[in-house]
Amino acid sequence: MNDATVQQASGSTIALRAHGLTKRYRRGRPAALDSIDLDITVGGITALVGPNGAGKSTLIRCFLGFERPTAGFVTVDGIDPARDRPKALSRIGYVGQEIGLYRQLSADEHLELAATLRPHFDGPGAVERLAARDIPRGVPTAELSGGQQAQIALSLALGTRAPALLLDEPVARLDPLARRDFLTTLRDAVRADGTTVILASHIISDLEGIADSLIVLAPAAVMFHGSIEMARAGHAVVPSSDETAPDELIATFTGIGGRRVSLVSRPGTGDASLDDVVFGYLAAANATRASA
Amino acid sequence: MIASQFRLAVRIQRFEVWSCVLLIAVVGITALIVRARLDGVGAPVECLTPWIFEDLVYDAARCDHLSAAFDRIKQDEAGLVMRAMLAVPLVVGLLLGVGLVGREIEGGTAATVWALAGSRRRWLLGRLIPILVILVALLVFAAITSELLAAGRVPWQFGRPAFDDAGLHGPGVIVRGLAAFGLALTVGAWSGRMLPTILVSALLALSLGIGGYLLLDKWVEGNAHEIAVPSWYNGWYDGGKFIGEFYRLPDGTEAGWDTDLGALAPIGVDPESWVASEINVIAVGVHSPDYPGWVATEIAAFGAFGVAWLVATFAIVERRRPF
Repeated sequence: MNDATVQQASGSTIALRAHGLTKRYRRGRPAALDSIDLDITVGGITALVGPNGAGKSTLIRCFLGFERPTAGFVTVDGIDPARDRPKALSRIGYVGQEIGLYRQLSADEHLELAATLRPHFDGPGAVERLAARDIPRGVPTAELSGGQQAQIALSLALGTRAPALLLDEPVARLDPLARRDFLTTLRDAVRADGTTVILASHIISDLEGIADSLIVLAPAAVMFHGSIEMARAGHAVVPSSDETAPDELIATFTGIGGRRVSLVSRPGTGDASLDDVVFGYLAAANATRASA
Repeated sequence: MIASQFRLAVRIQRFEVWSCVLLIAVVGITALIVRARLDGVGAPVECLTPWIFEDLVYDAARCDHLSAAFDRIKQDEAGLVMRAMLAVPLVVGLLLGVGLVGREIEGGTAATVWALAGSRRRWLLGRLIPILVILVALLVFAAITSELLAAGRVPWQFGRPAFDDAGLHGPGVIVRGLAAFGLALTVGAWSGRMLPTILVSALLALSLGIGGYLLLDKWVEGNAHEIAVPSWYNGWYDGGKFIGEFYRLPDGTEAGWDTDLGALAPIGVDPESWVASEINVIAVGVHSPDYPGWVATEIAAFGAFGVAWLVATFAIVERRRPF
């Protein structure tokens, strides 16, 4: 992790924490996550952005107890899933990259199944959410569109009424309309009850109106962690030919339109787009790796 | 909640469940039909095994066609069903076991339900018990129908068990099916992929089937004892499985099967009557009264095998990634 460029979120109670988190799938191979430190405070939607292989899914799977850290630890509501996975999972709702529904079961049967697996599952709330989106509840999910399946998966996660929702690129395969529907449902559901959400995504434009904070994960390391507001107002994009102070330059990269630009840190005066911030920090990560 | 779990577990594996129901129904009902056909021949035991009756005058005119008809059904139809019984419990166990965990992992549903359930042990129990109940019910039906057919093939045993179709009827069917189920379950949980699971499980189930015969041979060797053959008839039968036979001479020594017994008769004694009265034929092996011991052994062996695989599945599911 580049300490100079990582800005930690500050605030109250920690919902999700990663401390010195390292995950190496095979000895001798590069780490998927390398000494990550993250504190995600209670409430709000945190966008987790990064290229393929950056470790987004690995991070989420560590919180779920699906992966055991090689070093360091994670906690969910103060509980280490490596030590007490059932208790940690009781505080998590999850939607994965694969929507993970039974093709032969209907939405109603999925809700019924969830009620047998999760104590206090909010079946009526889930039914209400599906009804609001006109999702057919009686037909096998194999007959539904990808967007409708994603809505069912989201309803299962929201029905847990867990304080934390971990969404691992659930919209990656959806068309723009279905993505918007999914994210709207998510936003409406979690705004009301202060759920903490991590939403991993490649599609930065989707996150603009929905996320409260942003984590830019470059391969194995956190490059930026702060509020969306801080990300945009704290950075500016200038032509690469402009003079910039060494301590404010984050990285130079090829922007949209093919021109070379620099992302610079200018707290309070910047007006960078979220795309620029993400590209800039990923370029910084590449430069760090290249120099190493 | 239990009703929900049961219904959903069946819904999730409905293809396998219905395939198994169909397979067991076809084989089981066929077994009952063949048994009825055997009984329907109306061949009395005196016609089928006249040698077990002393002083019986064989009525060839009455018996020949009846015993021929009985033998035809016994060998062809009943033989086919009993041979199928070797594969059926293994196939049913495999079909139900392969997808239970393996397909959940391959299909991506494991991540969803393991995140929902928290306790994977509880999830697995919820998925396992309904399928296990169905499997046991199907195997019990197969065991009963095959038992009836096996008994119908040896009416001269008058209800006593015989080693003729050992492992192909009764409790052996149930424990073999459960062992195959446990095996497929474990391989599925371990590999998380259907095709490798099907191939590896099928191979292992085949070994299980062969292993059953090897176990029987070993058990017979280990439990073989001397059984006095009560009659000189070649066709002597008591439902046994024999690994040797010899003559016991009046002084207690043994003589091989190719011994010229007449030459051993004391001088001045009619060799034929001496042999008939003084020489005992001894078979070495197991026979009908030993059958419960074999059943207990196969239940213990295959049961332990199945339980070990089930325990291994819980351990694998607890530790592995859901993808």
